[in-house]
Amino acid sequence: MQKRANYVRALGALFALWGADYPAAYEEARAGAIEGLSVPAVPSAPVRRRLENEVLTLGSLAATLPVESLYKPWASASGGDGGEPAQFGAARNLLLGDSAQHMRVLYDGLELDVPPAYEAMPDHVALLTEVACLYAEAGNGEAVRDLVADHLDWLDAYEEALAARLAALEARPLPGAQHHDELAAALAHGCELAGALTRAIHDLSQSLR
Amino acid sequence: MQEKEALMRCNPTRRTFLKGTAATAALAAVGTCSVTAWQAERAEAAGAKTQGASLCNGCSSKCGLVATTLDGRLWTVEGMEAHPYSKGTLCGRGHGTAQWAYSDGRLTQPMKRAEDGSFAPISWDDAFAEIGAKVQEILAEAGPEALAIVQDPRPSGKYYSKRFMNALGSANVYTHAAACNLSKESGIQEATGASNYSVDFPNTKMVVFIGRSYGDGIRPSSVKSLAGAADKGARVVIVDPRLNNTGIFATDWVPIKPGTDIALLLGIANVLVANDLYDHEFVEQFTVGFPEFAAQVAEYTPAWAEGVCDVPADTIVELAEALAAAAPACAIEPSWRAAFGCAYQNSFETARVVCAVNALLGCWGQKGGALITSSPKVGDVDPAKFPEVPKPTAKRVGDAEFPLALSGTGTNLAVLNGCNDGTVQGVFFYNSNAVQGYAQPAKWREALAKAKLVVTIDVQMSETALASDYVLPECTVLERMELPEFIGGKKHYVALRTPVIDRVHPETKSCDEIFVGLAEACGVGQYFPFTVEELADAQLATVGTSLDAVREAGIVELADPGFQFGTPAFKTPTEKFQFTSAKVAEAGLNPVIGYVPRLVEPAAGEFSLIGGKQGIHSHTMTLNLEALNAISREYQLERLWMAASDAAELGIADGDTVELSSSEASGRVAVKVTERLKPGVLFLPTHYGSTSPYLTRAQGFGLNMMDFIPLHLEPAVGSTMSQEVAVTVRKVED
Repeated sequence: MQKRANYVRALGALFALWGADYPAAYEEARAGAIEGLSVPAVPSAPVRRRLENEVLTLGSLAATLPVESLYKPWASASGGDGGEPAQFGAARNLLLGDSAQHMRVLYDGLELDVPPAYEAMPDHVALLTEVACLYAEAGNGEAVRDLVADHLDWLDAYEEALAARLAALEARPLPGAQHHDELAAALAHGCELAGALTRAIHDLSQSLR
Repeated sequence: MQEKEALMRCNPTRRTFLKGTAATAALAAVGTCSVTAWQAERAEAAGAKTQGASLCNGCSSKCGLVATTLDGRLWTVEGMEAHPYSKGTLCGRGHGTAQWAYSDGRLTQPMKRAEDGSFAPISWDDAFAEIGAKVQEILAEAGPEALAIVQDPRPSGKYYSKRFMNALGSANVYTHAAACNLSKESGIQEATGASNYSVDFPNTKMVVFIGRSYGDGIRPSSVKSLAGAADKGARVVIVDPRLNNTGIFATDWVPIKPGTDIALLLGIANVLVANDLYDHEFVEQFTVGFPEFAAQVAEYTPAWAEGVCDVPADTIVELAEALAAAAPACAIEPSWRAAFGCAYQNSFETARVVCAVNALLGCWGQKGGALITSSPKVGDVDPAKFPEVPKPTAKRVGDAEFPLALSGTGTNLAVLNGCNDGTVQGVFFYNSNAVQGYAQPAKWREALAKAKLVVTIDVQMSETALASDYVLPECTVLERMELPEFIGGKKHYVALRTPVIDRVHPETKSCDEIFVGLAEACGVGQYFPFTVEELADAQLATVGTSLDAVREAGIVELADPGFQFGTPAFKTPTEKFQFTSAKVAEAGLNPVIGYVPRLVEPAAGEFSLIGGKQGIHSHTMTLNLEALNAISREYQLERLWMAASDAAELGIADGDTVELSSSEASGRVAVKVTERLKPGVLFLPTHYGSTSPYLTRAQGFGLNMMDFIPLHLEPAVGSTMSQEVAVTVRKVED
């Protein structure tokens, strides 16, 4: 379980912003790869830069973030204490939804602090996979199973969102050919990463049955 | 970059992100709190529910709202009962924009454009420093008059943007008005001395709307007032080529040829004068220039008007007689952007004619008529704490060429022209998508590309942001505090925008924080040694209240201004209602209120193109919001309206795709075939056709009307003439 959870964590970490240090993150992921699962190729520096600046950064050109709240209804029906439901509870593509609130509860219980850069997205995949790994390190397979079931069940939708971004880009090419090509490669690489992570999570789940 | 550094600091050796040691016992504990269990538990628990009052930013009305939060998250918003614009109701835009704080489409950190046109994050410190250096360079080379700011006024924005620009020595402060209500307000100003008025709906017997539609926005209170008047039996006349969504309250729809409202109104004036139906007492005691006006209006018979505006002469006579019978409890409604805010070569003059008809009816200040009310005046604040900024010595760019533009707004298109001729080299935009909405986008982009510095402050990557060198992210409406908003009318109020939720993205800043940062970077920080709270409190003290009081209640009624029905004081140079204006004469136009034709006449086979708002959107600002965009798509609101008879003639069916073309652009869009439109006219909603790839929901959905409009400015006023165009349309067969 631990090795598989480590690989999931290492893949999740590739969705964080590493800047020039990104090769080491890939190296770690590749070193921990599970046999039979795909291993993401290391992208070129320009492609990785586009991925970080223009895909994995909120408000950027092709922003498509691996944040759970964006792919699920924002709030459950009840407002607590028998109160009225959230006015836009069914909406998606909003940050700090129920998944983020639940993760905060878990972080509090585990005495973990979310860094300021993730204040608006405590349910970012880099954090979710790290918690899964921490549970695995503690030998708590049930908690890993619950976390995967509750919080890592949306990566198909994320991969589809990246693919849709890529299709939209190809339909409306950017004026600069180099920029366009690098961003297209970055989105394709994002799809590759999401696919690899989905498969690694599936593999981890299977191992826990 | 800051984000990256923060991440890297977490624990670079272990490549982990979460801080803390992780409680081993908790990690190992059997079972966890699943989402389902947590949701069930929360449903039973009493969460930390709080309520806070603030002001909406779904449009420029700034209606009062009450936000309820649960455990710090926004849960519901509703209209504030005590606010005169909301009266307990928040419109669709208000509900939609409330979601902005959590939207995935907003800017979260400063951005800088690279040489290849792409944008990358930059720290606030670096952005301020680089902008400051560029401003100093422009000041040294071209002087302060080469700097300008364009803003769509908001409570803090209108204060800080003007103070910032004036502190730099520039008078070049402009609002969005040249693409909104500049012509209408400037025209009303010349006739009455006030830039606007209201209709006394509770007492009115008859009201005539020229193109404006309360049913398509803006204020809930406007709709309630009109509904009340309609319930009491008032005659409500809609003059519009399109049967708009105010039709539900209307008794009459008068379909008219676009850009010719002035002829209809002059025809009505002709009947009132020729048939001696006008208010002699008002005209003789309170006006100047009536003899010249009466002589001129004699030409504008109903028959003449019918030939121009295509409204039957009999209808014109009947409307004039009905208005005279209802007078003084009647009025021509003042409108806003609609048909003569900025639409045609004759928009300024149309506004003056509207006022003239009201003058003939003697309805100024009367029960049921046209009311000019006052606004609260903020007194002087302590100059030691809030230092006075020296008045710029150079005149505002554009004022000489467009002397009739309202002084409080100017014409922002002078900035476009100034960039083209090198007069303006540094431009700031606050809460303004000028590129997409104020004139032809291609012309704006071309002009801004010539500037040495373009900075946009916004919550999203608008088309204007895309044409900028730096983009500075403001926090969204419910996350920020602003200066007090003073509200005039029969009663006076002050209301406040206050944060009701914590900032979702810590790297965003409020308007005051951004302008103070810019001022310090540009070397004029000495004019901003105060916080927004301190200034708000000082301003509020001058009107007899305090920040705490307004913050607590959301809105406070101020001292009774003593409104009384009766002829108002006309604050014109002559202190009377002006049928003639010396200022208009000095601008080289006919000083006597009269006729001006529209500029572009559609030829055979061509159509007039008119635009208009939809109740769920505010221009281009709200298009990318998930909920509002979804409504647009669900109901295909982007469609081009075409009269059924025209569609039949061209073989076009409802839902067909057509190609719309003008001298400037072509584009494809689906058609809505309708009986609610005058033949020969096409209606295009003015919100759509975003080109910003950052606005993924909005991009490529529908057409942007401004793409089709030639760049030409209304003489002496400088409005964008947003409907001076002739277009063709053809069915797309493939």
